[in-house]
Amino acid sequence: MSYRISKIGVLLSILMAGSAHAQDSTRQNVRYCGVGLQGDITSFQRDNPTMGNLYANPAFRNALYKILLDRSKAAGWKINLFGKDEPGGAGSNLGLSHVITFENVEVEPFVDPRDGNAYFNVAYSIGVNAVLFDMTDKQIKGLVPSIIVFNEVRPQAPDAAARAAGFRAIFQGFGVNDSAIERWAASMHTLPISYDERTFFQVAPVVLSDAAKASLANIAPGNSGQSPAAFSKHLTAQYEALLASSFNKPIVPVAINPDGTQAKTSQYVANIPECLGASSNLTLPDPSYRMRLTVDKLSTANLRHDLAATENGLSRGTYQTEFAYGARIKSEILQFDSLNGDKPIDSRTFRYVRSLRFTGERSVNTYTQYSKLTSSFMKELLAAYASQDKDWVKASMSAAPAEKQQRDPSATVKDWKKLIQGTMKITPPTSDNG
Amino acid sequence: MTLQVFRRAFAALLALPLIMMAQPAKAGGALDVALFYTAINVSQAKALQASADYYEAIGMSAQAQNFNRLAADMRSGSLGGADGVKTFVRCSEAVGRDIQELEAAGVYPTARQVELAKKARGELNVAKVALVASVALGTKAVLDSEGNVFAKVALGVLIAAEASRVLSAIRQVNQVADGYRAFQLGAATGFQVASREVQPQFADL
Repeated sequence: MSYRISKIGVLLSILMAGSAHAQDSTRQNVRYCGVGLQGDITSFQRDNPTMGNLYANPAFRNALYKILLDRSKAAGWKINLFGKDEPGGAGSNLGLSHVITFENVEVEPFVDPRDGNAYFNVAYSIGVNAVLFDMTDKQIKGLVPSIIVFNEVRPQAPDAAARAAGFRAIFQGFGVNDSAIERWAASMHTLPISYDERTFFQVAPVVLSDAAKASLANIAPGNSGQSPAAFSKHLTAQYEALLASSFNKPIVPVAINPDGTQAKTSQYVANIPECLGASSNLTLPDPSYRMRLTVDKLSTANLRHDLAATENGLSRGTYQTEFAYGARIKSEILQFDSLNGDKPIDSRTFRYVRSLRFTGERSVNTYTQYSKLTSSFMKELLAAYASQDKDWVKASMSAAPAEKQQRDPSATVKDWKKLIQGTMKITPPTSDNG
Repeated sequence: MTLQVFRRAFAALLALPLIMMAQPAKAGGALDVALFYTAINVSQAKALQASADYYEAIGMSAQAQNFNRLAADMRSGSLGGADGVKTFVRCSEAVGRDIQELEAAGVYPTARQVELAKKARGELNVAKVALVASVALGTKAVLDSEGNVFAKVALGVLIAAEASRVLSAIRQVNQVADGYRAFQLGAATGFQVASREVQPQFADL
């Protein structure tokens, strides 16, 4: 595999040799520090065995270094990026690294409506933080999270070997049109990488009410991969990546305690051997704003829809089952204040209901659908914040808040225009971040 | 934007032979809604054929065979008139349901299916342009034929309703086909907006 990556790396280097990566004398020189790991290496390898093993192979890291350096140079960021062997990189105080934050595998059984057979949809995801930092005073200047997702359909659930092969396949996608890693690499130009950014956002860990926790805990008791804590952790990481791409702003990553609460730390621990040696503590900037989601309630309902007469064999069955999922979610924007505590500056409660339909009966994993529902809500909410979309607000406002002002779409959009467009200077994104 | 305009113009060019075939027979002095149905039958058959090819492209061969049979019936004239419109609308609803079910199950198109579906998608575009034109021609033929004003108004209302059903059906097929093309790995959930009937069960949210 490393041979294949090397080959692609050489090919990309040749292709890119002809395109000048313009270096601007008004911009800071930054040294590319390759791929790193979040946290200390022992705990990373314990929690993320596949990526930990891949990372331990120097050939893998070297091949990735070459590819990611070229792709980062071509991303058009407002920095002059240099490789370790280029003179411009040697004297620079600033470093840039792609730090791998987690690996995750979700396995979802499904029945293919085309042949009626059962398969497994396997989604492999890797969290990657693009981190810009000062190598001398160990200060983080910018951090932008993203998630690479690769799916495959298998006739059986993947064993450990198949999972490892799935992760390796992600990196074999360089140079392959529309592959997961190519979509991620293509989205790099949208990342807000800048050394003089002043506005940072932080995502608070996704809060689950007791009712929401009970709804999740009752689905698969004893399955740690489908616990309320795993739900909160997974969706917090998603919200960070979505927030960065929707608002085009860097993130102050949140550290989460085992009980799901936010750990009070201003340190970011990372292993970036190319520039910092073994595990280093980097100081995080204070966030300007903190975004907090509270899942108040989760519910589900099934409904049978009889289809019109099936003469001529137009339908594949006589009825469809609608699996509907709903959530009541409170979204708050808090202004960071280290002395007096965070100050809530916007708070709204939404209801979000979506459904899936299948011909006949079907077994559907409710935990997975609640996770997708919340993720889908986050994406739409952030788009609505950024564009102040009144139609979405009107369709999604919950009737639960007692205060009328909290349920008024016009007043909400007016407030958001002032706060998000005016104060925060957020504009709607022009393209997706993979 | 320019590419979209070019695509539309190209689809219109490809649809020209179909539009020519859709010229209705002379009214023969009678005010007859059949003129409308005759005008749109060829285009409906072509749209069904395109849907069949789309089904084949995404691996739903059984449905493709059904649609091929119906398209042949329409071309031969054994299926037409109000029944033809009814069948066409139901077929379009079935295409929508089936594609949305693939998305709900998480069945992503393979690279080969995306490639095949792209070609079939082009056929659907051509069929849509031809259907829009033949609906206009059929409506004009009825309204130009002999008959009193009141009868024409009544027929006009009937034809408008039929035209609306046919056009919204082909638009729906095009929309879901577009959606499935964009149903990328890891980027979509397969969710739809929940039905009006199920909403009361979430009244407490």
